[in-house]
Amino acid sequence: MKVAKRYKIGLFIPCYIDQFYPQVGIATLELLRKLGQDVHYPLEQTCCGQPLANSGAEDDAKAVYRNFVRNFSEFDYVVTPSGSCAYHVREHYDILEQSEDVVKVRRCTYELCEFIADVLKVDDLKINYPHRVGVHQSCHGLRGLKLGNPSELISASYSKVISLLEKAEGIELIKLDREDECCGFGGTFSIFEPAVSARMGRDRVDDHIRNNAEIITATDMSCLMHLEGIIKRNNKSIKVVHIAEILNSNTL
Amino acid sequence: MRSHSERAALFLKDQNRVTWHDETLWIVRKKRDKAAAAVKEWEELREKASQVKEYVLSDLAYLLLEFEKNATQNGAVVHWAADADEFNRIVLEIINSKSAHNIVKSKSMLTEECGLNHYLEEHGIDIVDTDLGERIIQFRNEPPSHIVLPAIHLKKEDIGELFHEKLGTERGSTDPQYLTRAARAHLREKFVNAQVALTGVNFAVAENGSVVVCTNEGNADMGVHSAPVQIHCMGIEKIIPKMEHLGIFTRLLARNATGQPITTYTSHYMTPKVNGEMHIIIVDNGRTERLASRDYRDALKCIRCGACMNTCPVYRRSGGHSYGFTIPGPIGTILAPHSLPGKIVYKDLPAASSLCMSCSNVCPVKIGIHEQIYKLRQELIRKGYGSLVKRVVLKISGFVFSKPHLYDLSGKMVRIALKKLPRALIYNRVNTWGLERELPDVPVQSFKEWYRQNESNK
Amino acid sequence: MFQYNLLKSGTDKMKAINSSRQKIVENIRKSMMAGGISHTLPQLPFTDIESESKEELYERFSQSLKTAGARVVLLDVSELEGYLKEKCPGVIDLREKSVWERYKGMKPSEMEAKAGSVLVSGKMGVAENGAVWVDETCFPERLLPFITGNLILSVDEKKIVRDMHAAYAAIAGKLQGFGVFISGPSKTADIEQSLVYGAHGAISLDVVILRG
Repeated sequence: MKVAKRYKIGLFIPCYIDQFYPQVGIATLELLRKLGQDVHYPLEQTCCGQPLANSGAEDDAKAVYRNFVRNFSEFDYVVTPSGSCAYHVREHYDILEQSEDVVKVRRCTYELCEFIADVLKVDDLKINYPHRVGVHQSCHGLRGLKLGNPSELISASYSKVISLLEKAEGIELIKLDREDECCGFGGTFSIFEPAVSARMGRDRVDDHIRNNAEIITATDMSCLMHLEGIIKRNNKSIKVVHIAEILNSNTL
Repeated sequence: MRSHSERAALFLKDQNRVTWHDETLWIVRKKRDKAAAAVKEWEELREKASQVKEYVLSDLAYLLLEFEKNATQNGAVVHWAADADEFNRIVLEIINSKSAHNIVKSKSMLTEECGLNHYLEEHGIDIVDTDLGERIIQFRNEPPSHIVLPAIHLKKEDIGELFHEKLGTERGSTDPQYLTRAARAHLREKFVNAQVALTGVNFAVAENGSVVVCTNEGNADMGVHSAPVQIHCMGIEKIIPKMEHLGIFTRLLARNATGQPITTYTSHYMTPKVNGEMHIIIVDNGRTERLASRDYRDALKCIRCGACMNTCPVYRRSGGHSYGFTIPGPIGTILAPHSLPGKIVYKDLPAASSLCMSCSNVCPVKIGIHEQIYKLRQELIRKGYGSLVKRVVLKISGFVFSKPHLYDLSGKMVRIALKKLPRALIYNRVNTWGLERELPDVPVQSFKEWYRQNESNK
Repeated sequence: MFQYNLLKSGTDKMKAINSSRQKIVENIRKSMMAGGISHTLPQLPFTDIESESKEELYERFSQSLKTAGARVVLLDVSELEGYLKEKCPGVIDLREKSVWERYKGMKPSEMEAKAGSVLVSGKMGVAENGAVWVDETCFPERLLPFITGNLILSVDEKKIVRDMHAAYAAIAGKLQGFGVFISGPSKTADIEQSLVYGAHGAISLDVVILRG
């Protein structure tokens, strides 16, 4: 897995991954290094501020935004294993004064798959992943970052995420009945609307099980955390694995 | 009043019905996809439609006056209503001036918004909704649960029972064709004796003063052409400049609403019939206030196709009545909070969205629905509408997340707590996450702790 | 600045209505100053679309109609009379202006009893959706094409246009009184999304496409 260019990368590990899914952060770090990148993890980082802003507390989130910009303005790219956080930085940091640093950070923040596909343009991932995998297309990545064409839009079909996964040897990507329905996480939506959120999650899990997936993967651990919670509560035999872990799995 | 999440939880109690509701509307969404995909310039059409509507909003006064001038020349009487009260009063006055008592109405969300039926009933006038779905819910004395499919929350068994009681159909008969025929016979009698017919308006054309109404059932035409007096009710935003723009909107509307390439009837009413009267009532009812709002004015572009409801994963599982507002679903969510002058209402609705953005993508006039929901959430907190607890939690979180050490420490404390505390204490009633979901397992180290230990000195 | 058409009547009621009119117009103008952005009308779309042959248009038109639940038949003009005699006995043929007098001013209830089957000569067909344009010059009473149980529309094959843009280009400036695009028989799916023909308008629709 050789890429032409080595960038100085600031690794942003979202708060919930930091606290609950460190293995996803580790996989992201290792993967970026395998791809020849100079990866740094600024220790003063916390959160992108989305949980606050999505609840309506944009004003309180500003200090969090500034901390993010302070931590990441020195890098060529900010890479994060979360479409939702990347989308938030790009889309909603517009309420900060648009200093040079803010503009740069907004422009250079990438979701992991998007970075690999669009910046590194890797077309040869030597990985082996002999599993039946269903891709849950997280909404902010899909519709916000346009990692693929959402089913509502009448446009040419593509998916940066699926294209990457297709490079894995032995992988069987299963087709879902609803290719890009929301899982029902939605940040604080999962707390304020628990009944609808859980029902959406169950439907999403069932779609994967019905189509015989062993594993649900996604660009966003937040969706997967929610789906995992549903799976465990209902004793379903299906697992969630973040896409960074798949892309970082045993190299051929 | 119950909140959206409480009403949704009630709807979700009947899981099988929810499955049916979700699947049925999903099929409508799929039909829409297929119909849209058959038009290769679909996305360009949406863009043009959006531009026409933006133009309309930027020149509304001129267009309305032009429309009025032309409609008047055509022999119609144009009325203006500043609010719901005035609108209702105008309708009543027209009805009373004819001493009419047989009134039929085809679908109009505006009359729902203004509570016209209720107002007329209070004044002793019966008004018959003639759209089949509308008639069903009128019999049940409840509001529509969808703007295009008003009775989508009901099963044929519910309707069979209702028609047995109201129309004398056979007990236990649930065949849709049989029930539809019964309604046809019942409403035919209302049509042929109608004295006044009301309709909504899909589009009003400024250049020639005509109004366009789209139906599949033909109920607008049956009413309008039977009754000597026809009344068309429109919000100020229904104006389009020219006939040629109908080409754009008629191509989008039905495809997006139901997956049909066009509604069965697309009727253009320009002059009153011989010896008839034609009234057009132009209604504001809060629309000009919205027009002045940079953040929310775009919602006035809506052509009421209902596609945002069909695609909304929340709407499909919570049902239209869970919104508690005349217009449910994503578009209702952005219309409701500013539907009354000078205050914010329906404060629970902006939270009833997972912000999946699908609504904005299906919208035929490209309203940034999800962006407006996001903005409404900010406005609610900024104006102090969130609960005290919520606001305090958000304030504290904002502080913690902006202070790296405090964040690290709080994260550690949460993880320790989750590990040490007994399950019963963690899965309490306040923990809504835990009602139907497990919390994640707690790792030994956070990523940052792992990094500090393994990587910092490299 | 603008004309107060209603002021002429001079009654108090009209004045009240007028004040709302003024208020609404003023509010719109104020809102423009507050947050209004000026926009221009877009260029009308799709003039560059490739043209279709007569056969292609016919094919698409009849396919669209069938999908919409109509029966479609292609006839030579000379075959029409025979077809009507055989297939539509008792049809009220509104192409004949002499028939009009009988229906002018007829009460709806009477019309309902008499107009079992009606033939209306349509002015234009639209290939993309199977819609047929009819207007006030096609029938003596607006209610007739709706109240009849079986509607028959005839369309000249040469009058089939590609899409709604072409259709409105043909109508613009010529609309008078009342006009309607009809695509298929009346339908509803308000009971459990089950499609049923014959909600309130015609229960069945036949479209006769005339060649030559």
